[in-house]
Amino acid sequence: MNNKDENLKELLNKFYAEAEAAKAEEDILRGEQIIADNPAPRPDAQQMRFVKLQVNAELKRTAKTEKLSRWRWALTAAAGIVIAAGLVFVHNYQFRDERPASIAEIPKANVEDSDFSFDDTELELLAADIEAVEDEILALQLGENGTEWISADDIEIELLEINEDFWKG
Amino acid sequence: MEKTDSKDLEAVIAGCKRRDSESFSKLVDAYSRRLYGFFYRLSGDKTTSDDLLSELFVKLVEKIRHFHGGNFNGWLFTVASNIWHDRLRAKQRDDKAMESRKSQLELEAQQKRLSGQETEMIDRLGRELENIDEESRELIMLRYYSQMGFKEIAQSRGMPIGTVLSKVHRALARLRQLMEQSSDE
Repeated sequence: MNNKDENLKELLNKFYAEAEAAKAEEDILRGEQIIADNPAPRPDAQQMRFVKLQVNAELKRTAKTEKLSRWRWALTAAAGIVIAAGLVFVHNYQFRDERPASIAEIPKANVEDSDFSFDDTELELLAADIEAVEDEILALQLGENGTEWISADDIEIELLEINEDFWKG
Repeated sequence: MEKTDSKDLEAVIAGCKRRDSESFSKLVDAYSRRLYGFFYRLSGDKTTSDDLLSELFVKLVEKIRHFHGGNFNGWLFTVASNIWHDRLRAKQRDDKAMESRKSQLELEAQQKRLSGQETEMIDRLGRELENIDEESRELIMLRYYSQMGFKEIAQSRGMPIGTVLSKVHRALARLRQLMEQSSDE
C-alpha cells in the first residue's frame, strides 16, 4: 500500500551511502510486505452500519443547529428593526406638537433670545480667539492699530494656527 | 479511495461538504477498512478501533469543510492521527485504568497461548508491534495505510524528512527481525 509516486531509491540516496541506501530500501519494502501479509481485521458490517447511522444523526443535528442559528439571527435582526422603528415612532409622537413644521415657523424671539453658552472649554477658547481676531480685523479696517501694522496674511496664519490648535485638542 | 478514481472522489468530497448523507455513506465504504486497520494497528484493540472509526467520521461532518484540495488521503489520515493522539492523551490521564487493561490483555494472551490457539487467535504482527516504540509504530502505519510518501508524512507531522525516513527504516527492520525470530520459535 506504499506510495507508488515516490522514488524511494532516489530519496534514500540523499540520506545514505549507496550500499546503505540499498539495504534501507530492502528493509523498508520487506517490512511493509510483512504488514501486507498480516492484514488487520476489517470493521464488521454491523460496525459500518453503526458508523453510518452516527454520521446521519450528526448530519441531522448539525442541520438543526444551523437552522436554529439562522432563525435566531433573523429573529434578532427583526427584533432590532422593530425596536428601532418603535423608538423612531415614539420620538416622533412625543415631539410632534413641539416641533415646528418648518424653520419659518420658529418664533424669531426664540432665536434671538437664545443663550448658546459653551460647556466645552475648548469651544470657549476658540470663541475667544475668534473674537480677538475679529477685533483685530475691525481695528485694521478702522485704522486704529497705530504703528503696529498687521497684514491680512498674518491674520490668516493666526487663524490657521488657532484652527490647528483646536483640532489638536 | 481503493477503487475509485479521483473524479469520483472529488464528487464524493463535494457531496460531503454539502452534508449529503449518501456521499458520507460512500466515504465510509471507501475508507473504513484502511482507517480501521490504522487504528487497530496502533491500539491493538477492536473496541477502541470501532470507537475511533465512529469518532472520526462523525468529526468529518464538520471538518471536511476545512479540506481545500490536495491529497485527501494525507489529510484524512492526519485527522485520524490527531484523533489517535487525543485518545492517547485521554488514556494517559487515567494511568491506573490503562495498567489494569494491560494486565487484563496480557492475561488473556497468556491463556490463549496456553490453550494452543496462538497462531489462530493472536495477531502475531500486532504482538510484535508492541515492541516498537509508539512514534515509529505510528509512522510506519501512517505510511502503510495512508499511502503518503515520506515527504508528505514529514510535512504532516512537522518532522524533518531524514528523521521520518530513519525512524521508519529502523522500525521496519526491527519488525522484520522480530517477525523472523518469532516464526523460528
